[in-house]
Amino acid sequence: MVEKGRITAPQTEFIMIPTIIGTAILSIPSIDAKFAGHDMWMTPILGSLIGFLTVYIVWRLHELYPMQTPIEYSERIIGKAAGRVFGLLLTLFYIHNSGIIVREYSSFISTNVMTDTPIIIFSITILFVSALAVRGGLEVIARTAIICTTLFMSSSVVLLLLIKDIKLGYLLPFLENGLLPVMKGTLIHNSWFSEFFLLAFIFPYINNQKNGLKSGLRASLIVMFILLYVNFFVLTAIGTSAANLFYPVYAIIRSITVYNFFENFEVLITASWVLGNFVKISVFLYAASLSLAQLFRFSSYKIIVFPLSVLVFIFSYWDLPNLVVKVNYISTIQPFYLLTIQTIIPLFLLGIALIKRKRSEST
Amino acid sequence: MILRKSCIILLSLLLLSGCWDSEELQDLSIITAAAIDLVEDDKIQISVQIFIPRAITTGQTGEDPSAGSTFIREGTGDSLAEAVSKLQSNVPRVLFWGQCKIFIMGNELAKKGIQKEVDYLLRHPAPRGFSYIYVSEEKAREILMLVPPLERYSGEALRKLSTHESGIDTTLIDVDTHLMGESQAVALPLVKPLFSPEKARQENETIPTITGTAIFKKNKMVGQLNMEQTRGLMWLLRKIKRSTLSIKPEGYNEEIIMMPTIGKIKFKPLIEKGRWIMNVDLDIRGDIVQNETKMNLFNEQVIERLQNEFEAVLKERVSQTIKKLQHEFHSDPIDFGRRFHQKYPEEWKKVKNQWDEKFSEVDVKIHVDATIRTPGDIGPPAAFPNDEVVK
Repeated sequence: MVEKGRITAPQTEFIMIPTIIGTAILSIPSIDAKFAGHDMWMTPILGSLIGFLTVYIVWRLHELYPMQTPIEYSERIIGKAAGRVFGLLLTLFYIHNSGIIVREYSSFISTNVMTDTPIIIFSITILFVSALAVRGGLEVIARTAIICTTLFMSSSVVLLLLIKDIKLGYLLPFLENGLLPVMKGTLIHNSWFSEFFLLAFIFPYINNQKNGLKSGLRASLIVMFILLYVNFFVLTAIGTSAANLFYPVYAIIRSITVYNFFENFEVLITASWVLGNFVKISVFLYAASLSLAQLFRFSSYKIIVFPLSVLVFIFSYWDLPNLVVKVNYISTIQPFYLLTIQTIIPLFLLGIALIKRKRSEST
Repeated sequence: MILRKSCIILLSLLLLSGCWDSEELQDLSIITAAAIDLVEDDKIQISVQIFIPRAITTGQTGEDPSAGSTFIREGTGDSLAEAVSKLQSNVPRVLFWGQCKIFIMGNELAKKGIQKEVDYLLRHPAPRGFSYIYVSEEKAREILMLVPPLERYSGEALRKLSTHESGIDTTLIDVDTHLMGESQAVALPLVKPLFSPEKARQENETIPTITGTAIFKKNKMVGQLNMEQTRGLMWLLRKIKRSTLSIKPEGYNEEIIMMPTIGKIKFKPLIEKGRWIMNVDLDIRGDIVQNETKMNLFNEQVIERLQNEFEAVLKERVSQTIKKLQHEFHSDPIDFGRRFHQKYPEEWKKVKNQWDEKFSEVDVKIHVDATIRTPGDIGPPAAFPNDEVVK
């Protein structure tokens, strides 16, 4: 067994929530406003359906092959050669995606907060800390996630201070151009919600196995509510002009003033977002290292964490030259890319596994 | 092991010691307000009011407290961005925009169009999107030069006026939302130095004051509303708080004045047989604060009659403003377009591109419901023989 740590079911929720929201809060609202306009508030509700579906697929696969990760059971489901190809695909996918997340995080910090600092500094520092956490194992990630997630989530209370400034009129007209724009916005959410597939690397190491599904679904529900809450405030505070801003959530938080005295909440929020993204990057790096180790039958994944972070860093630096390309990637390529690998292929795997199971029972 | 530990310590030393963006307070020049003007040869001039931190502690240092706690620097360039970088070279310290919540646009610039400047202010990460924007009646720079007797600097005086709702308050984001929105029009407060007849201790010792409203259509100023019409506009923008309403009751030459305390306004757009109608329902409650007439206000019929007269006056005031916007400026900063769009998305699509013309044709129906809560602390006119009071 490559991973020796054991975590509890509630800890998985603490791990998964920032893993979805971490970058979603940065990138989604602006693209959502562009696609869905006045109806952007409802997109997370439809988007979360993919979240529930993915959690369920992962759970069923886990029930059929307990104590195994996708790298191991894919070989048993679709044969050795095809399984290993899928494993390689998954490994590369998580390395690539970690790179994109690191880039999303660093370009946010460098365009908004520390404009003079080179972007690679943020990438290197966050990757270094995350790599240390991943080397510590899943238990360390889980324990740091409890602290980081609590701080990350509690900072979102700040948005409530906007209640006096919101205009509910911006929610109208309801479904002006039909459902199509909403579906486009939903697709963006889908790509984030499909990241619940990461649970496949966590479920085998839960203490009390029967609570796994419940906490997975609960995490998905909480993520939906947070995104709903954020989208609602973005829309009612600045309307559809959110589409013009790259970071609308940051913009509305900058606008909060209470009696002209409590201001500049963005400092607090940025600090908490760093914590959230730290958890996100740790989980992705963990998934990448674990799958690479299992793919090549290493006895431990700890030795490859640092080399892998270097690779992730290179991906973060090369793949997305600037913010415009990033937004384009998120709104056109990413939904299909992430959904295919994290939801659709596992769905097929589950189908084949169930048929196999039935056949072996009947014979 | 020792090697590993020392490696980590070395790395922490490198990473925790600070960053590129560290800016010490003594290296910053804190901007409190900025004015943007159009000067000769279509160049843009930005003037900023910079806070002098040492001026607050004048007591100990023995400096002249009336010298003011700010100074003004300017930069000129073909674009606002160039002007700002010229400005930076005139200031030895790094410009810090975080505290700047006031931007004043010069009159000339407002007439020419403010889109390019708003773009810079929203695009650059340093200026705040939710800072207030004003239009100056003359050169914007003159507003910055004022030294208010009470506040520390003129920017602060302006900001306080805005938060107390003496005029409309519009932020950068509002400008963006409105000019890209349905009506492509926005209203900005108009400012000018307050003329004070008292002998000031020094030149320029007065505050900027809000004297009306500049109406923008497609980023150009198309007209101005005076204070009377601005009050009508504030009703329409739901921003009324501090303005009195006076009537001359029938048969009297004197006035009765009410201070509204609660005001509500509802817009009900309606399209009926191709006619676009906007129902504006105003609900206002207030107290009488002055009675110049001989009427006894301790009388139900009198109050009833006054309420009707207040309704008529408010209706007149609001409809005048709407008329001016509809027929003179053809500009819709009061969001009729958005309200029609929200209720009638299909019909809206047809008139979207000719909204200017359609807006002038909208039939506005105003209904006012005024309630006098109390006639004040006294009923009959004060300091007046009781037998001469009209019952």
